[in-house]
Amino acid sequence: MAMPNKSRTSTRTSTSAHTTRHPPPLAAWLKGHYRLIWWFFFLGALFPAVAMIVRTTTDQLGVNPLQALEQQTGKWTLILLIVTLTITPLRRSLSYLSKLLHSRYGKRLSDWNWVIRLRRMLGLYVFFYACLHLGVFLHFDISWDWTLLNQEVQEKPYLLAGSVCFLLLIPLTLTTPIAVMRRMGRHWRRLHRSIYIVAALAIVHFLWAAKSGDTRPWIFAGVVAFLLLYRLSAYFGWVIRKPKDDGMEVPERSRL
Amino acid sequence: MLIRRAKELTDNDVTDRDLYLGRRRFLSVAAAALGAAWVERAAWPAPECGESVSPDSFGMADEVPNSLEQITGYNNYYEFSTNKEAVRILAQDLRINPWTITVDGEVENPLTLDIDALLTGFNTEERIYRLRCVEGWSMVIPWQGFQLCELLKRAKPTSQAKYVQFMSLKRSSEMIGQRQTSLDWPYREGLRIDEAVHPLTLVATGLYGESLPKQNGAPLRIVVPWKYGFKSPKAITHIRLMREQPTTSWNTLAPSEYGFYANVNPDVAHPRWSQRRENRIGELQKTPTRIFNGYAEQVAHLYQNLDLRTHY
Repeated sequence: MAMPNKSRTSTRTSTSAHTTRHPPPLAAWLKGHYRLIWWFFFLGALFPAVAMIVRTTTDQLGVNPLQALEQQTGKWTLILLIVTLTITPLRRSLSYLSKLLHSRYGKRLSDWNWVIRLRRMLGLYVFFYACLHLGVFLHFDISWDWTLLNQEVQEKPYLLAGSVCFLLLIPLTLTTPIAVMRRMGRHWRRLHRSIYIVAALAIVHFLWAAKSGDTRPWIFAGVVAFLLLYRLSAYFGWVIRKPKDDGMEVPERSRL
Repeated sequence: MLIRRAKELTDNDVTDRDLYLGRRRFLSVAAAALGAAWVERAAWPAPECGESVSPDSFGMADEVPNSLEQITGYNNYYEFSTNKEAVRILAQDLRINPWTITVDGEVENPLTLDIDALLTGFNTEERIYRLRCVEGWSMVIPWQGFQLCELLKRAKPTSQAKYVQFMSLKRSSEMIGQRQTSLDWPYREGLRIDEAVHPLTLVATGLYGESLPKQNGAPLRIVVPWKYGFKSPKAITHIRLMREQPTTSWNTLAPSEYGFYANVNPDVAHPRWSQRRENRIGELQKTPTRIFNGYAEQVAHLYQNLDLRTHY
């Protein structure tokens, strides 16, 4: 098990070469180009931050740049959180679809487990954008006035929800390294389930911060509700049958 | 041992029989007199409207107005959209001619004025005012207009007129934001009569020397610079003088967030937006908000007997 990926890849190519004349399916191609996909997501997630910096320096943020910065950093935090939370349902449904469509290739070709390896990077981006969001608020909005911050958090429920979100993200970020993950064992998964609380609270934060008549938060609320309901449903086995593979396989942990 | 004796009663301690029998009449007369005095105090406090106000007299000498692009590109105008940067485009579909404005209610001389008569019938002057939105941003705007007092005076308010209600246009065919029920249309606002006749309260008909742009409330709007922006209704069609405090749109929707008075006050918090500080359009860093938006010297006396924390 020294190099699980390489051995799997070689098995795949030999299998498809022997048993079928079809070109390798998309799934296999994607899996084989994991580094490329990683860079695609890495640069894609970085792009909004770069765009914001460029727009700030060239005065292209509209009439109210402070509000634009606060709203855009918040929006991208939430979008990346949603993308992170999509990884597991995506992997499961892709595996299911692959099995359905390519059953003759066996389980090996329905292997979408590599998708989960993007989750670490995307999760770190959530924290990155949350830091930008908080930083813009602390610097421009309240000018690092801690007394003011204290008063505002007590008066404004949306700030309390946002603060709790940020504080909950800190332990998740600190337990990112593979070594910590291994050392924590099953506790790592338990801890990281708090991302569901973060997601729910982030929506509450957005809903409470938005003015009446603004429908944008409800779109995000709908998506996050779907993703959290998926987990509930999977957990209790309502719609999604609880898979034998509970979808929580973490490749990094099996590298040893 | 000290024994106190009751004080002897004298004739002076006995209420006169006539007075005693007439006590109810006395009370009602006294109440009427007091009531009349109060009504006189509260109603129509401005038989003559104030002199025009020079910018220096309310601390505007050092203020630099925002650019026309900023003022006409960032508008809180729910009749069109909740998106402040979309209003500039959406408002252009509004037809503002023909337009009439009606002044009625507790007046001796109800009026319906055509917009052209209104625009030519009053001497306009420039007023550079700060505008502080309840959402926490602010601008400095050079309006053209005339004192609301001058318009009200023509309708001759009765002594019963204690409040003024403003009603904006309801026309959802052109004001597409009205197709949402975010507010109970038409938009309604109101002032106490002494606020309405205050020399700072303006009927704005122009901006930067041009006629008022549609996104800023054409053809005419009210500007009350010491209150949050939502107290300055746009595109108004009706002004009604009333005995009772009128209902107002935002107050009806969320009474705990938007009071009837809505004076700019950094000490009264809002659940979403910071009222301690404001985001001056054109500056990235927020700055402290001043009580009455910096017009305390001119208007604080109106609220001497009012607890501004409960009457926010």
